[in-house]
Amino acid sequence: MRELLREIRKHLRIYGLFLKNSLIAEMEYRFNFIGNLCMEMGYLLVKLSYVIVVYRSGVTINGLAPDEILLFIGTFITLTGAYAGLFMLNNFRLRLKIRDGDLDLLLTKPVSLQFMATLRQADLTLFAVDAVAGVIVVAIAWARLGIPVSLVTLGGYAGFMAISVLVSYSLFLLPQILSFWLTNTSAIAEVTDSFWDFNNMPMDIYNRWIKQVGVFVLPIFVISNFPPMFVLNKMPPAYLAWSALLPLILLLAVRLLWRQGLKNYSSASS
Amino acid sequence: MPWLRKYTKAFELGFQTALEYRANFLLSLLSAAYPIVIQVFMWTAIYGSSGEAVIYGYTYRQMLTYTFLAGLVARVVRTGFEYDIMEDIKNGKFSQFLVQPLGYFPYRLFAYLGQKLPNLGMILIILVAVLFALSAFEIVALSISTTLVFLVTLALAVILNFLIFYCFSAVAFWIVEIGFLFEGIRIVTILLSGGIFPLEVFGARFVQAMSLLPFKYTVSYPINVINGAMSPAQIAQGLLTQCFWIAACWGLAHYLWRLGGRRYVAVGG
Repeated sequence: MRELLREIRKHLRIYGLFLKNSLIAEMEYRFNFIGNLCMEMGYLLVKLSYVIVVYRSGVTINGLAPDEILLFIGTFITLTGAYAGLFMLNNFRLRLKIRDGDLDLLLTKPVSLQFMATLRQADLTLFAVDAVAGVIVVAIAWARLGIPVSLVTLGGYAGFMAISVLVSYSLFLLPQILSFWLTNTSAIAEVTDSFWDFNNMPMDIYNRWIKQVGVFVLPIFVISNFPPMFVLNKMPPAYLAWSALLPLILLLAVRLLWRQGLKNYSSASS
Repeated sequence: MPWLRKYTKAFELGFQTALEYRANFLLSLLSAAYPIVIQVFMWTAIYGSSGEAVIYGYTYRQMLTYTFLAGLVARVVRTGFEYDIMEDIKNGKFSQFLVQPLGYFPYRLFAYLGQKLPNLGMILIILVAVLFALSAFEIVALSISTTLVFLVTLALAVILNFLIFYCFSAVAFWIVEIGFLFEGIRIVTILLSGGIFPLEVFGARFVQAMSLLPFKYTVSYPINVINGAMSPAQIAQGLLTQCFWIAACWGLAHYLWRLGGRRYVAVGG
């Protein structure tokens, strides 16, 4: 147990260094940094345009009032910060690392290879813009809906957000691991990445079949729907149980596939 | 016309480049379909829940038509050459155009049109299929004259968007690392041109403000021509305004490029 805690502490410390290095690299070229900031603001504007559509229509969409939809969109924006800021860059670069044999050097480090290869780079500008904007939107929706600020609501929301982050990490990493077997998975990367945007609106806008597929088969809707559903008391017991199981299943699947894939790693270019 | 021959080569080069990455283009088309799918479900839910026949001045069918066409038209007019220009200026490759008997503006225009052609062909096939389907279900009343006017407005929209982004790309003379900023500009101009939602969604004042800018003449205007949302007089006025913006952006582009050219230092060239 003590060994495990020591390893976790070590990896957390290294992760802090990864973040610091990413920040230094971003600040090095200040126009790049400002440009990145502008780009993220542009994307944020598009996400917020959905809020305008909902509010100006003033309609309760499939049982969800505009303020409730605002909570969903705010959650989506915050989680976009986590996914696109902390994981996406690594996911896209993984196939290049495998193809070019760049994993060789990482294999020699006394740290988990999966940890090094999938969490090393971060886009903190993107993370900051989306996280700050998302939290503000969530706070506005929270206040407008009159949801009590208690340990249960806040703690529950935070807990479901943590589950969502784990699901985002593993769900979007899984197709990238196929790079160990396939030479070029850029097509898979593009298509799976676009799936993220299905969370731009609450899953209640889709029909029953799409909802069930999006929760249980390709669990994309779990990510940004479960945290607001919990605080709005709209979480069926089946979803509650699934939210506890899913991250474990996905993390295990990632681990097993990663180990299997690593056996196939041929260090091609070195 | 011998002077034209060198530019037809640029056209051919652009055409070949587009063919080289055709799988990539097909995939980008697939990822462009996602927002359309999301919006179709969203509008279906909004119209279904409101009980109103007309929202933001659009019936349900008109809104779906707009959503489909906005995705396609935004793809038709999309540029991408601004990144090449950034690289040319950053790496000093722009120098070769200063000494060769080759105009940079016509070279970029022809390469852009050549690169557009195969993609345009594919999108136009989809567009025609969508329009025929909409016409068959009596959602859009297609006539030969409306279709022809639509194609003219679409061609002008392609040129207008080229000129808008040619103006923006001149900023690369002042800021060398501008790739991210281009992406930000692209996404905001899509929103302002009505490439995501109809402009009416954002209110009358916004529509009025957008009438003073060129962006809506790249996406929103051609769609409203085919959507039957405009009278012949409005269509004619729109065509004139499109031509005005093309002339204005062309003038502005030349002014900005002359100004920027003085700052060019041929780094790495």
